Amino acid sequence: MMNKIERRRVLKSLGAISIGAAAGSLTNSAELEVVYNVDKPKLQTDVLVVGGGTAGVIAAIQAGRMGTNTILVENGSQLGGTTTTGGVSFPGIFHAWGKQIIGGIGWELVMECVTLNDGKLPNFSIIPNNTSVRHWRHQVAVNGPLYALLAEEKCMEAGVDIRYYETPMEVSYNNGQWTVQTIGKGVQAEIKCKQIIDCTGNAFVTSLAGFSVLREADTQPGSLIFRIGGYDFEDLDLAEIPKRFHGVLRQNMINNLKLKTPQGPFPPSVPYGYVYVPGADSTTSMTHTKANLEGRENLLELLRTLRTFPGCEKIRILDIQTETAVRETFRIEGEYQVTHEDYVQGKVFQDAVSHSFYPIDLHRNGKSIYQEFLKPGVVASIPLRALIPKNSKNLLVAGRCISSDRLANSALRVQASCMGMGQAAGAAAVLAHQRNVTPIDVPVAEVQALIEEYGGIVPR
Amino acid sequence: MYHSLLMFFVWMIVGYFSCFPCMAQTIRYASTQTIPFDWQDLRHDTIYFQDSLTGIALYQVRNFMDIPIYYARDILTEVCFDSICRPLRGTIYWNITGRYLGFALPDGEYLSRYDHEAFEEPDYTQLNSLLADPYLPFYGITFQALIQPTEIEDHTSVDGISGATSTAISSYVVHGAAYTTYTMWNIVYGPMRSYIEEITTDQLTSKLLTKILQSDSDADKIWGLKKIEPNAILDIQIERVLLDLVENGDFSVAHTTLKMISPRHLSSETLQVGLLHTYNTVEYNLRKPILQKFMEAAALSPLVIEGTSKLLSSMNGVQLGYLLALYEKHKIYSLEILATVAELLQQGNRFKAEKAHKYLSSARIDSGQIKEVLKAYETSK
Ligand SMILES: Cc1cc2nc3c(=O)[nH]c(=O)nc-3n(C[C@H](O)[C@H](O)[C@H](O)COP(=O)(O)OP(=O)(O)OC[C@H]3O[C@@H](n4cnc5c(N)ncnc54)[C@H](O)[C@@H]3O)c2cc1C
Repeated sequence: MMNKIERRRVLKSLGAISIGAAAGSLTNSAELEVVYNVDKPKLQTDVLVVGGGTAGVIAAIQAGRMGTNTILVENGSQLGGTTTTGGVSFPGIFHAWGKQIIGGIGWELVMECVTLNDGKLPNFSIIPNNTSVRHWRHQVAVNGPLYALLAEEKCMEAGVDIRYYETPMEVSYNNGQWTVQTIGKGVQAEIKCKQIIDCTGNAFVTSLAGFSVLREADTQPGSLIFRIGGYDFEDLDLAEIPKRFHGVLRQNMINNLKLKTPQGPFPPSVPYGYVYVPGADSTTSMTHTKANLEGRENLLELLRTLRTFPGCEKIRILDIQTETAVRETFRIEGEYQVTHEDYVQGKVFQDAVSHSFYPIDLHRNGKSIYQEFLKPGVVASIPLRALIPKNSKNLLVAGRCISSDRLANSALRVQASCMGMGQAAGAAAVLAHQRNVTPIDVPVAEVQALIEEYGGIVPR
Repeated sequence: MYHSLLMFFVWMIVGYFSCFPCMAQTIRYASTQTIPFDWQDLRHDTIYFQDSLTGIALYQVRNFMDIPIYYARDILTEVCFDSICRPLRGTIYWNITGRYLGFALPDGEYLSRYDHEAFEEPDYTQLNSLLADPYLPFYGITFQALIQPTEIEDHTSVDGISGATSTAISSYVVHGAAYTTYTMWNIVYGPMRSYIEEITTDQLTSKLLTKILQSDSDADKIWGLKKIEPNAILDIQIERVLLDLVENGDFSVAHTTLKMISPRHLSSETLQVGLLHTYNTVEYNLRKPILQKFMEAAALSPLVIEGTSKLLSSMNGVQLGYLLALYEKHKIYSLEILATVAELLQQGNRFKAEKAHKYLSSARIDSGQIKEVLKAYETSK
């Protein structure tokens, strides 16, 4: 009989033989490596776009398509920002009062996304009246992940050098050239460039570069977007469920998202729910972590509460966005600040580079929304000056953080407008680079003509 | 409030007039006509239908050219107030596409609020525009359910949610006449509407379809577009109208028109050439769908090839990509086109050059000069 030690020895050798026999060269192939080897590339480009979200993607594609060397730095792992990672995958609004008002690259992406997903467009001939047909019915439902894929494909095709997982940490301007130090996973890059477009949504680069940014004492809440299933809304006895939960239950039912009409549902929409996250701020890793933690905690609490209601016992999470989507943080102080009055009166600026169309739409402390609809025929416009931080050189901003007062911002932050601004910023940056001037010194007519050449719509 | 309203004011549909044309109309409100007509000029002999399902009588009125112009249905209802009822007679009209056309009340008849106050002119006008709106939240919902605010709450927008959403039924009804508005709206958008659509669809001729596509209403245009048979050969009139819709329609109309044009329709050279013409006049966003439509054609007309090739040098990189993909699909590799595209390799825009390179790489190139340009580009990359 084998003693214990003997047996262990035999088993060990058997094990070694069998592993060796099955895996062959797979064993012992690991070599000792330096675990954390920081790469320190020095890069040179013409245009640097920071933030590959709703606006940044479009800015980078525009610059790339003009044959300009373009780098896009994105701290996340995919493109699209709030449209994709945030889960707000229903960009709007591209049409107003029977006319298309925002087109270009944003619209191209949205249309391709709809086509490749066998999606449906709203009928834009039906003009919202803010009673039976509300403005947001003209938002286009897109498949978020697909949008991210297409955005990436278009960037690559335009020759844009995408750098995920990176963020600027230092920015300086010398002799007409920017030097941007970025940091990412195992990377510390130095990017020298002529023009920067800050599309972080938080005016992050603008602030790093030392220009003024503004923030409201009370910002709009963020939202963590999710989908739930495992219940049948039609079968619920709503009388048994507190009223404040009806909305969240209803939103997740596809049928309830469709306006039942004699001609069938209008328009296609996306089922989702969300929990508010007061004060959500995505500017730094710390603030965004806090927003994510709070959002997830709120959602868990909601889930547990919902499951106590009759008919909801089996409610389960189908999907949660990986980040809390953020509505409002910092805005730049620009060469011009778009005001509430400019917006609701539809002022057409001489240096207008994009339209914008949405009601004034301010979420107040998570409880109510202040809305103000634009009068029939009114469409707002965005001047190039609102994209330029005051007294800056070779720096543009696009997206929700452009120079605007709080109420104007609550409307112009919507996605189609951000896309329009992105295209304008891309065009202006390239022209400024080609002429070796700062964007404000590029004749605005040239910027406008270029936007139009690439399919954008310039307010006239 | 609405509960008490219900008790005071009840409309009950109890029957239908059989003498529609002899009703002298004094109050009449109408919306956009599909086929323009003058109420006086219509033929008197109307065609009568009885829906076997609902038993409801319907009149189709034709013009002197024997073209159906509208449908009408008479209603006889009772208006009750404090248990005293009076009959109310009226007529509802539909366009031939089933779209609401108008309503009329005969001599001496009038509508009133729940407190019996007679409608004034603005009330009739408001009722008319409410009835013309197919999107009122009245569809498939009982009046009882409707007046409970949560039922019509609009919860679907992220940034247009609840607090800001008008749940007030008052936006959708004539003041003091919620039930009247609801009832009439449900007649307009009830089963009669689809019945009308069916009748017109059965009677559609090329001539009638052309007229519908020329309606001032976008809803009619889209209705007509959806009736276009993908396997039919289109007559020249319809082709012209379709091209006009692509050129002058709003985005949805133009886009739907392009969608309805089938590969079979594209066997017509006049249609292809017409589409090429529209390419040069439509707004940017429709250009790509036009080029993509040509992808569906079994063969490209030589005129389209010639016409599009003239655009090569002036297109931006994206459009160039679509056109060259079209040429690749149809194997268009004339020496002239190859030479023009080869020039694009040298004009400095990397994005455009890549599109040109992709196309040239799909071609069998015999010209030594083009080969050289291509080689130079490839080595410079
Ligand atoms: C909950 C919610 C609901 C909304 N509803 C609607 C709606 O219904 N319709 C509509 O049209 N709009 C809606 N909006 C508004 C709209 O979605 C946003 O305002 C818009 O998408 C913002 O675009 P942006 O490009 O400015 O920012 P984002 O799309 O957020 O893009 C910013 C990008 O920059 C990146 N980034 C940030 N900081 C850094 C850094 N330091 N380094 C590198 N990268 C960085 C981010 O990862 C992100 O990819 C909603 C917004 C929210 C939050």
